[in-house]
Amino acid sequence: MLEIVSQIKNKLGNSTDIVERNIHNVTYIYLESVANDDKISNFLNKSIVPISSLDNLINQLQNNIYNSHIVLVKDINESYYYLASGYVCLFINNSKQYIAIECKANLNRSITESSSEPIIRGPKDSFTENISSNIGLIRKRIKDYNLWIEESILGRRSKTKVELLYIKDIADETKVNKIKKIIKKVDIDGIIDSGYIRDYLEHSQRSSFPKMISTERPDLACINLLNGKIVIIVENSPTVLILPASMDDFLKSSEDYYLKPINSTFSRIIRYMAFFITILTPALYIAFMTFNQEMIPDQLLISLAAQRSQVPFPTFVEVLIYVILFEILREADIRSPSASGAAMSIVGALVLGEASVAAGLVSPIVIIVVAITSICELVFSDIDMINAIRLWRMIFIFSTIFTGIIGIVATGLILIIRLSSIESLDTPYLIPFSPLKKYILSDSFILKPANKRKKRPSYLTNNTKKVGG
Amino acid sequence: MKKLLIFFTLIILTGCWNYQELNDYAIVTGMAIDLNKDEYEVSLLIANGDKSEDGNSKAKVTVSSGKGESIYEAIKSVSLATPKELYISHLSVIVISEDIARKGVTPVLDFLLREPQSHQNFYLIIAKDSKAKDCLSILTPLADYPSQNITYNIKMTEQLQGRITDASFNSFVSKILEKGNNPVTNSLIIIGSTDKGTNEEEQQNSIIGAYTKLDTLGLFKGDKLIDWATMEESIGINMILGDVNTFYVTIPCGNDNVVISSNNYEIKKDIEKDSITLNIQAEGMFNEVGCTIDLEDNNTIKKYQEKVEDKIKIYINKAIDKAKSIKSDVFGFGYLTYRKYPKYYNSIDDWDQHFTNLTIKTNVKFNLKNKGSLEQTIGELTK
Repeated sequence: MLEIVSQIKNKLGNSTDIVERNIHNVTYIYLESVANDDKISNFLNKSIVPISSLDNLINQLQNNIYNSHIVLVKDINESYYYLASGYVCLFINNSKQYIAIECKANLNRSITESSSEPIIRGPKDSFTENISSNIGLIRKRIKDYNLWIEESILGRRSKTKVELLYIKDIADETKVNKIKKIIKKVDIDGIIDSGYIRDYLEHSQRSSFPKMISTERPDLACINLLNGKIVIIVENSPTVLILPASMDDFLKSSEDYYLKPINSTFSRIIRYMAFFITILTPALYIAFMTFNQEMIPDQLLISLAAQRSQVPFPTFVEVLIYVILFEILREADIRSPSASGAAMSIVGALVLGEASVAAGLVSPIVIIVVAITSICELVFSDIDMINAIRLWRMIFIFSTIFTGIIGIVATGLILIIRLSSIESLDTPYLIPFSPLKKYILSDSFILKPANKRKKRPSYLTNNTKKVGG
Repeated sequence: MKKLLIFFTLIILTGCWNYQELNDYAIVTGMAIDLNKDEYEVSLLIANGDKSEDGNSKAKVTVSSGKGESIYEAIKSVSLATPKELYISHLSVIVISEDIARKGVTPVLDFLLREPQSHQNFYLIIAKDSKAKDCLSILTPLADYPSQNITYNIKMTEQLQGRITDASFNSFVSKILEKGNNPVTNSLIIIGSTDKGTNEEEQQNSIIGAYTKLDTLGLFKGDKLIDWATMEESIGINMILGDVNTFYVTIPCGNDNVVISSNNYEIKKDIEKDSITLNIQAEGMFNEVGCTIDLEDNNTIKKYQEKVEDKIKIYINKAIDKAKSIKSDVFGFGYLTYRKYPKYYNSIDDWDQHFTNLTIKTNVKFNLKNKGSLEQTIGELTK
């Protein structure tokens, strides 16, 4: 056995997946868990001939193996990274140099439809855990030489590839440099998902609202790239990050651009309404029921009073019980295996809904309130956004319990102040509403047809003129 | 941590300001005030009784009364008999008896204006020939509770016929306070026996035993009820006040009648120092032609236009005569004069006296535009 090989094996603790072979003077090792045996026997074994010098071997291999990376490596410490990435390392004669040939096994699932952001019309493919196919999904949509991709390997132990994608002549260079600076500073054991990187990029500001778009959809990533945003893809994560993001971006869907613009405008207005409904409804209900009864029309008030007359709890307890119960139900629904879904829906719909009204635990109107709230919440696909809404809904409820409609107004002011103080990569969070931009009339609240959207948003890029519409 | 502590302290120290559960409220939607010798009897219509047994959210109504020397005291004595706090923000109608109205409504007004809970946008109505309490107690199958019945009745009738006024309590009070203005208000009568009207089981019959009906206007001078107007006078008053949306006139024709309704009524008041001119414009259509006339003849149309104009003049003159006879300017001519010629108005000692000698001219222009779905009369067609 070559000394260098035993050195490597020792360093890896003689792990069980190390395979060592010796053919015609050449020793090679690989990890069978990440390398593909077929590839090795088909291409590599057939190409190795009795040879004495490393240079000859490289030439020989380069002429015979066409579809893999071949690297000449001088540092022994790099071998661990190559081995873990599915490379085969070839050694000759105890030389300090060796050759690494890519023979990756296919450990990826295939490209499937996005389950978290489904759309009806438009491309259905979604990102997977494989970073090169993820880049490919973007590359095949934007075939411009200006689409630049920069790679850095982060994580002391995980050695995860993190790719920065932007269109050179559109994206704002200061923003790109800022991200690069932040990424350079990342010092962490492992990056398992893009969520780890997000925390570094959001660094100083604490806020429940997400400051970057997380998406599984390559088409959404491309739409944003073309507007001058920057995309970050992390190895082994199907969720890519797009930044900078503003509040407005979370109320958009890539499908908006594929449907008729006037209809998309309508659905965007609906989404804005849903945002306010889902945040405010329980709080408003409490305020109207316990502080400001004079604001309810006579007949409704009397009907509400009749409904509530058999409920022994104060209104806010009733609402809190139900809102929290729904959150638990939702959490349980996400975590539980799909087999128990049927049981859950029976419990949710029948027991929590009808039976609790019949038992006099809650009044029917509270169920309606919670139902409206949760349906409006489902309009948003970004889980971070939904969580932020849930948090603020609770804050609204608690401030209302103490001060009624005044509490709602005060909390609303705090919310607006919080939102407008957030910055995502030097971009105000409430843009284009505050500060007000013309963009609001072309691709925000109102969506203009593609032939009328002649400009890119000025807050993202200096190169606002689109070529050919 | 310190900030958090301060924040929570702030919240807790505010207390549950104004916090009140809906369960603790007895929602009062109607109030009736009677005079019982020297005592006030206040009856409150509480609209949220227990849920009815079939499980729908229609409420059972109760009328509870209390007596006292003041209205406040009477209400407090109602609350002694009520397990919940009386909540009068949703008061929609207040019925006062005729004797209180004749004595002066100021004590009633004062309480309702002073009470911070009351929103002052309800209707003030006078019970004619019956106890105010009874008017509030008559149930009807057409509305959930009596006060709703009365308010809807006022709103719908006001829109469809020019007989009653839509004025709220607020405008009633401001008319008392305005110079040279006097209020009018609606009255309510009970048809049938009160005992049957308050019985829930009676509601199952298709012919109900008792119901309330809006009657003619009551004319005030200051805060005192002086007299009742007749139906024609009521229409005339509303025409002058400009509160008429739709009205109809009946004109005799042969053995039968022709009914013409108007739906586009407009009045302009030309105020001068010595005289007031009312310019009225209206459009209308035939609703019913009981006799045989040629509707395609322009002269017929013209003839009927003139007849309607005369009829409107009669209504208006009757209303003016009535107001002059009780020396109460319910049309607010004095107020309009005051706004246009304040110095002139102030030089008059007693406007109401001056009003009786005021010259009021009326110009009416009526335009018959439409004959309904039938172009001719049947009699004319079969000729």
